[in-house]
Order: sequence, then C-alpha cells, then structure tokens
Amino acid sequence: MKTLRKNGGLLLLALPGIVVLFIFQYVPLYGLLLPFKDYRYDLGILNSPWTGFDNFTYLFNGNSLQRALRNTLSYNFVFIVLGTSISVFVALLFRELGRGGVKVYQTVLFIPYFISWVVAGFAFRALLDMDYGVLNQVLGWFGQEPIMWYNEAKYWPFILIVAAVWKGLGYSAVIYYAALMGIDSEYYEAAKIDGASRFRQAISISVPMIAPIIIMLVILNIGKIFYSDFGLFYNVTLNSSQLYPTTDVIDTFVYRSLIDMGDLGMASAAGFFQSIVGFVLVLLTNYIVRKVNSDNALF
Amino acid sequence: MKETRTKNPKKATDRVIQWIAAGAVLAVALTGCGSGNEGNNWDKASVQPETSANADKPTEIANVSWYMLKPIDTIKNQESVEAEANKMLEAVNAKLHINFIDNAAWEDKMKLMSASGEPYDLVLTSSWTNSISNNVARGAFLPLDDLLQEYGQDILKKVDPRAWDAVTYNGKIMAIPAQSPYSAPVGFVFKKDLADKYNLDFQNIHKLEDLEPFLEQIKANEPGIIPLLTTKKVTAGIVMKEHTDVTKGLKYNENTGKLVWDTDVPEWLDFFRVTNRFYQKGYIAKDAALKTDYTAEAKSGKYAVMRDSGGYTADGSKSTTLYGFPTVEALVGYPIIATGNMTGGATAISKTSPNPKAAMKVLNEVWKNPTLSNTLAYGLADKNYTIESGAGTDHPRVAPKTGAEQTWAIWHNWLGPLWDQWDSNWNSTAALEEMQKNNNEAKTSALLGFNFDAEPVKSEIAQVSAAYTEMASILNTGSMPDFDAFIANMKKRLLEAGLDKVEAEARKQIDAWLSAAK
Amino acid sequence: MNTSTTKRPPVSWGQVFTHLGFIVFCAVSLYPFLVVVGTSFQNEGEIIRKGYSVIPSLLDFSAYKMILHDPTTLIRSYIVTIGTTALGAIAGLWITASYAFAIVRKDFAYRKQLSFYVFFTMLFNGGMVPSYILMVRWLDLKDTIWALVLPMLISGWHVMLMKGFLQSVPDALYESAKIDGAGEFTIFTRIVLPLAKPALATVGLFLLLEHWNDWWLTLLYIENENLMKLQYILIRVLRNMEFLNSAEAMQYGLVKEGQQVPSLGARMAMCVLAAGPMLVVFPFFQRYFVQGLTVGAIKG
Repeated sequence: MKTLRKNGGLLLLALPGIVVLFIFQYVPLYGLLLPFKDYRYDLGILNSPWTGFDNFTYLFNGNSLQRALRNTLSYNFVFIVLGTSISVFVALLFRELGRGGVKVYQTVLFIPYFISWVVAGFAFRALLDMDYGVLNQVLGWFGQEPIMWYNEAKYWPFILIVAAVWKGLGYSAVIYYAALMGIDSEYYEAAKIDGASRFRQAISISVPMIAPIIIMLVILNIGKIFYSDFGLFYNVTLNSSQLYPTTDVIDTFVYRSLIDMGDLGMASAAGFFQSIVGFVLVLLTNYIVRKVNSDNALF
Repeated sequence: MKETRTKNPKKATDRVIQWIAAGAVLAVALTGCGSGNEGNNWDKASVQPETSANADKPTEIANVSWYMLKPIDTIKNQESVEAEANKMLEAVNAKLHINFIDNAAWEDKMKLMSASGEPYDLVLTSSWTNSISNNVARGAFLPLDDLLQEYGQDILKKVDPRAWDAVTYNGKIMAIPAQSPYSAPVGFVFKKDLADKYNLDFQNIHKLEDLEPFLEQIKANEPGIIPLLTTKKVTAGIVMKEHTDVTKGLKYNENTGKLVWDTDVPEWLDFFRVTNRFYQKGYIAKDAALKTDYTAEAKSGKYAVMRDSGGYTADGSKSTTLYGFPTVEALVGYPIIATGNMTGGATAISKTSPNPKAAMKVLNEVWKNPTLSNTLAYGLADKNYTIESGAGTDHPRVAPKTGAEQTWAIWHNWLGPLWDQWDSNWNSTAALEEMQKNNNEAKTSALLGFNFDAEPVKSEIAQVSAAYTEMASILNTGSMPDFDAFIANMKKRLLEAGLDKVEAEARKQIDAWLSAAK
Repeated sequence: MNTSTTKRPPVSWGQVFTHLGFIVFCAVSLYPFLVVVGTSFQNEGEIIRKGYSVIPSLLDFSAYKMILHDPTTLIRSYIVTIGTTALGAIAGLWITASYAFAIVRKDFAYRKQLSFYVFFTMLFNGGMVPSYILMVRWLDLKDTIWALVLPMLISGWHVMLMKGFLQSVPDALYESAKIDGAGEFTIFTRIVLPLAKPALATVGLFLLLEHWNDWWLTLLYIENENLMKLQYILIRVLRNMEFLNSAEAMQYGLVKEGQQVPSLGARMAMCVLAAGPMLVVFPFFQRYFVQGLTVGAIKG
C-alpha cells in the first residue's frame, strides 16, 4: 500500500495507457489459443476442439520454409545493420547542416513514406521495366544488353535493400535527428571550448548520447526478425515467382500457402511462431544488454 | 437447430470474457473516451437482435440482411430501390436490406463476420469468392433442406436439379445455387483488322497449336503488336476434355476414374509445352508473367490473339463489346461441368441468422417473382434504366444506364434466377438461351457433386498451394528456359509438398462418395 | 536561452559536398514520386503501350476527372480523415507521453512491469477475430468514428520511442523538482513536456501519419460510405481495378458494357490526392526539431 501511495502520481499518469492497452490488446489475447484449435465459427474460439500442433505442420514439413526463413533472416539482419547506420549517419549530417537545408531534405526524404508499397511497386516498374525502364535505357546508352530485372533473382537483394532504405530512411532519420536535438547543448559548448573538431564532437558526444535509443530500436527490431514487410516483398517484386529464390520470405510463403483455404488457425499459427521466436530473442538480447548496462535494457 | 443455438455451451465461457470486456468498457467510460452508447453492450454477445424476438409472429415485419459483393462503385439510390423491392416483399412480411461490401473489403470482412458470429441473414458465396467449402467446413452456414421444403418451393422448381449436388455437404444442402452458365465456352479472340489482313481462317482454329502460322506472321510483320496475350494467372484456350480438377495439382480422369497429377496429364503437358515454344519464339511478351490486369491489357489493343471474354459469340459481338475494338472469335470447346462450375454464384443463410425462415421466404420471392429480381438487379425504371420495348409485359427489353450515370447494379447470377433476366445489353435473351442450351448439352463429370474436404490434409494442401502458385505464372506464360527440366522439378516439388498424400486422401473420399451415391 | 547554431565559417568544402550529396540523393529519392505524379496525368492506353513515365507526352486529366466526378465521397473522406487523425494524434500523444514518462522514471516502482506490459503487445496480439468480436459485438463500435480512433490510441512502438527520447532527460531534474514540492503531474506538464519538444513533435508526427495512412480499420469496421477514410478509398480504387480485370470477372460476366473501370492513372491520381495534404503538414512539425531548451536554462 505504501509503494502504491508513493507511486500514485506516476501510476495515475500511466493509467490511461494501461486501460487502453488492456481493452484493445489484452482482452483479445485469448486469440492466442487459435493456433492450437480447429476453429469452428459456430463454436467460437474457446469451444473449438483442440488440435495440438496440427496448424503448425505446414510450416515445418517439407523444405519450402527453409528458403523463406533464410531470406527473412538475411534481409532483416541487413536492414538492422545497414538501415540503422545509414539513418544515424544522415541524422548526424542533418545536425551539421543546420536548419537551412535540412528542412528541404527532410521533407523530400520523407515523401516515399507516403507512397504505399503497391503504388511504389508501379513506380519501381518505371525504373526496371524491360522495355521502357530507365535503367535499361541507361544501359543502352553504354551499349549494354538490356537486363530482364524481374527474371533475375541475383539482383534483388540489392534492389530490395535500396527500396527499403528509400522508403524508410526519412522516417528513421527523423527519429535520430530528434534524439540529437534532445541533447543538452551545454555538452557541445564545453567541447567547443576544449577545441574539439566537429567530427570529434559527433563521435564523442552525439553518438554516445543517442546510443541508448539506437540500442533500444535494435532490440525492438530483433523482436521482429521473423517478420517482414509484406508489401516490400510482394509488391515491389511484382510477385514475380522467378525471383523467389532471393525474395520469398515467411510472410509471402504463408500468404501463398493459405491463399485457397484462408484458414485462420493456420494463419495465426505462423504469426505465433514468428512472435514467439522474436520474443525469446528479445528476452535474450535484453538480458545481455542489462548485464552490460542496465540503463539501456528495455525492461 | 436454431433453438438450441442460443443455448450453446459456448455461451457460458463467452460470458466470462464478456465480463472481462464489461469491466474494460466500464474503465473506458471512466477515463472518458468511451463512445457514449456502451450502456447495453455486454448483453449484445448473446445474439438477440430486435428481429429475432418476432421470428414466429408472422404479422410482424422481419428485417432480412443480404451481404453482397458491391458490383459497381457508384451505387447511389439504394433506399428507393429497396423501398420498391420491399413493396413486393410485403406479401411475406419481410423487409430486405442489402449490405454492399467493396471488393477491397469483401473477403476479409465476410470471413471476420462469420468467424466472429456476427448476426446476418443471407450472403453471396461461391467457388471463387467467400468460398462455400471453407464456410461450410467452419460451420458458418445453416443447412437448408427443411427450410427449402417449407418455404422454398419456387426455388426448388427453378434450380437445375443437378446443381443441388454441388452444394450438398454431408448430405445437407448448404446453399442455393444460382442459375449460371456452367460450361462457359472457351475460345480465342482475334483482333479483326489483323485477322482480315492475313486472311485468317479463324473458324478452323480449335487448339493452341493452330495459332502458330498466324502468330508467326504477326511476329514477322507487325512490329507494334504482341502476337499472343497471356498473363500471370490467365492463359488462352485451355480446355481439359477428359479431366476434372479435384484440387490444385490433381485431376480426375473421366474415362478411367483414376486420379492423376497435372504434370502427368498429356493434354495439359502439350498445352504448356506449346506455350513454352511460343514464348521462346517471341510470340508472348517477355514480361508476361508480371502482368496481372488481363482485361486492361486486352483493351489496349496491342495483342493479336487473346482469350475469350467469358463466352462465345459467332459474330464476335461479346468480345467486341468488352475489349472495345472489332474482334472475331474462335471456339475451342466446352469444359466438363464439375462441382466448382455449378457454384459460380450461390446464396447461403448464415448460422447466425436471427430469422432464417424470413430469409428463405425473401429468397423464394426473388426466385418466384421476376419483377422483383429484375428490380433488384436493374434498379428503378427511368432512374436506373429505360424500357426500350415491351413495357408492362413479362419480358421487356431494357437499357441500363452506363458509365458514371450508372448508380445501381446487382448481377442476376448473384441473386439467383439468371434465366428470368430481362433482355438488355448485359445479356440478351438469345445469349441466355444459348447458356441454357450449353448447360444441358455439356458433358458432366462423374464427380459432379463431390466436394473435396481439405481438412485431413490441410498441411499438405497448404504446401502444394505454395509450390503450385509459385510455378503457375511461369507455366501460364511459358517463360521457362527448359520445359522438361521445369516439369521434372515441378513434380519433385509437388511430391515434397505432399501431393501424394493429398492424392491418397482424395482417392479415399472419392471412393466413399461414389459408393454412397450408388 | 541558447540555440545550437553558433557562428561558423560561412562555407566549408565539407558542407558543399554534403549538400551536393543530399541534392543527388533527394533527386533519386524523389524519382518514384515523380513517376506517380506523371502517370496520374498519363493517358490509359499510353501507359500500357509505353509504360510509366515522369513526363507524359500529353496531359490527360481523365483520371482526376473520374475521381472528382463525384467529389462528395472524396470531400467526406477528407473530413473523416482529418477529424479522426486530429483526435487520434492529440489523444494518442498525451496517453503515449504520460505512459512513457512513468516508465522512464527510475524511481517508479512498477517501471519494469509496465515496460514489459507495453512491450508484450508489440509482439503478441490476439489476431483479427477476437479484436473484431471486441469492437463489433462487445463495444458495438461498428460504423462509428470511434472504431477508427480507439484501436490506434496507443501502440507499443510509440511508447518505446518516447521512452527512448525521454531517457536523455537527466534524473536530477525530477529530484530537484520533487524537493521543491512539485507533484508528478506538474513535473510532467511543466518540465518534461516543454523540454521534450523534439520528441513530442516526432512521436506526434508519427501518430498523425499513422492515422492518416490507415485504411485497415475502415475496411474492418466501416460499411457506411460517409465514414470511410481517404486511404481506404484509394485502396478501393486499386482493388476494384484488380478485380474487374481478373479472369473471374470475365468468366462470370461481371463486367458489362459501359461499366466504369478505374484506370492505372486513377490509382496514381488517388495516391497524389491522398498524400498531398501531409506534405504541407510536415514542415509545420519541423519547427519543433530545434535543440530543446537546455537543462541549465530550466534549472536556473
């Protein structure tokens, strides 16, 4: 009771969030039973018969998932490492440039965020189209043979990474830029007095100061490491099956598997699998982070 | 059935959750962001909408909802059309409201409504959208046998007797199959100017190989034209004359009664081998496997040969209308009528329907009264269509408004009684008669009425589906470098995915079904 | 008071290169968007024959004409979108910030539990069916404006992000304020909120964008034309076109003579109309991306 009173003020501030989360996130959680049920609409989730792990078997029988699993993990690994470092780098440059140019650049880099993947898929087609695509026209100027981009799986890891950076950079650069803006300017004043170069300031003040948020975002991304942005892998590739060797991810594989049956139990089984693995990985990472510096841990 | 539903054991456990939700709702109300009308919502889950209380009092008007895929985006004067229809429904003391759902939301929404037990009465179901098999397997629909006998006599009179088998699951009728073309003719469509220019004897083209000389001429002499249109999912002129689809990758041989894999069917192999040859000779666009909008591609006029536009007209009028330029048509053949062909459109009654009797009565009126079904389809005279001739008779000819002016449409084969359609440019009476003739003359499958239950092998079906879908776009467009290697690999992939297990299960079910049918 | 930009040499080579780099980068980044704009003015036949292009050979307004033929739907969807976005973003920002403030405080006893409480929802959710049952059958929110706002009020991602930003506020600040007798609410509104302007602007912007871009909630919970959001109308154009061009539509005779089929240009035009307003909003938020008041200034 005493702790409750002592923390009453903060608890009250958190209360709206606690309540909203409870209603809209925790109440529907009984849906986590769905992967283990043979869902009959007329019986409801709770009364449908149990089936153990039947809904999961399509994921693990055969070897179709292997390819998707490998792709998912590789892309997410690259996205985490490359995506984070490019965003931080751009944010640091933004800070260096001061407010003048930043406004324009930030706005322009943010525009792709508004273009849904479906529409972006068409826009990329304008670049990569076999006959009319800009890239093939450029190749033509140099006397090169046109490339059938949508048939050649080997180019796609690169194209998809570019697409992901293109769409996400504006968003994540804003995050790190805002974090940089939150740094107490006294630190920089002190560094200037010590005669530290701007590069030096970036390395020894900016980066360490935003390190906690970088670490946090990385941990959160690790939690999503089995998930992927369906639109990126489905729409940008125009779902060209010749590219699957390098573009098929868990989400697209599951989509293809269930396209006929639309089985809710099997769909939720895939989601459950993705979540539980991510969850374990986050707990693990968080544990390690906490050992190193407890301030940076998520919880 | 209906009576016990409300005392379902599920309710007890649901109540626990209701109480949790109730507490949650209260909490929302306390924090002041509730919607203001949550006062009575925890008794909402016990499914007692207003109408159900009146179920057995015929003097009261029952409200019936009908969920339907929205045929056009520009639907406007729904209230007045419904008012007109409801005048005709006074006889059965019911009021119909049609809930149109956009294409964009339809599949997801219907699945969620059924899965969550939301009350609704009638719904469009079919083999290709809001799948009848999946819904029946999940227990979403009400068996209709008794209701049909009692309130659906006019429906029973008009439905093709063979079609009942297609909607019968475990001996129970689960939906009302619409009248529709069961064996839509398959053919090729040629751009008329090109066919004329090269004196194409199109009437003697009956299979894909026959196209070769023409395609070659086009390729050689018409630089702006792509000889043959195929896309990711659609190919032109394929008819299986001896085989019926059972499930993805598996066919039934009508002559031997054996199950065969697609990859072992000679007709099938030949067709795609020719497609592959055409691709390699440059008769098919190199990026055909990326194309999805078949109709838009066809309409662009840059192809010499296309698939049929959903039927065959000797004078090419059907495809000319749809594709928007002069065309001629060649007939390839008529598919064997199988279960799936008969459920291109059907209407089911939801298990959650508060008033299934009223729903059946409404449906019966729609089938019984052509004025009602045509009003629902075409809308109101003068407002949505004009009468061209025969006003006041049973068979007027009408002209629905088109383009942006069109503010109402429901397709007759979604309502059910297609043969009662008034003559118009949607379907002429002659076209309707042709369809009925085809239905009666076309070969029917020995498996007509058999519905494969995927449940026991759903894990394998899922994997086969993933593998097959991956390879289908390459097959349809012939865009593989080495056909035989591709097929060998396809066989291997399908085997790994467990098509052999699917086959064994299908065999078992078919044998059981055949012996029960005897 | 202290702003970040103090005197520096007018131009340095490093800056010139950085600017050059950004200009090239921005141009590349903008290209697909230009394609979208260009295609929206392109003639339907030309798109299929010649592919998408930035500069159409002749301007064709038919895509816009088709969409704007009946502007009432569009105008209504703008109103619904603006209304739900404003409501959702403001309420959401308050709930997010206050929650994040609590779990960032090291002297808060339930810090870990509540951090986990919110994190858990980032990875696990009950799925569509239970949410649908909750929204439609228990809360009776189908076809209400609340269905578009409430489920998105708070998300784990935004709370965590806010928590990350607030971590840079030194604890000493809270302690001294507490010694001065300030309550938590006062500390939050008087000290944290003004200090964390860049953070609030960022999370506020993200909330705004998420509400603006959302179409899924409309798809699930709205049948009434009058309550549909803008992005949903865009999706509707897209999927309708896909459907009407499909083999099934042809097979079952679902496309009739004279029926309007949205064109390739129409989906691009919708995209322009849907994204346009947000491009105006963005600079407004940038005003707050200035280095916050220094801690010293507050302490003093």
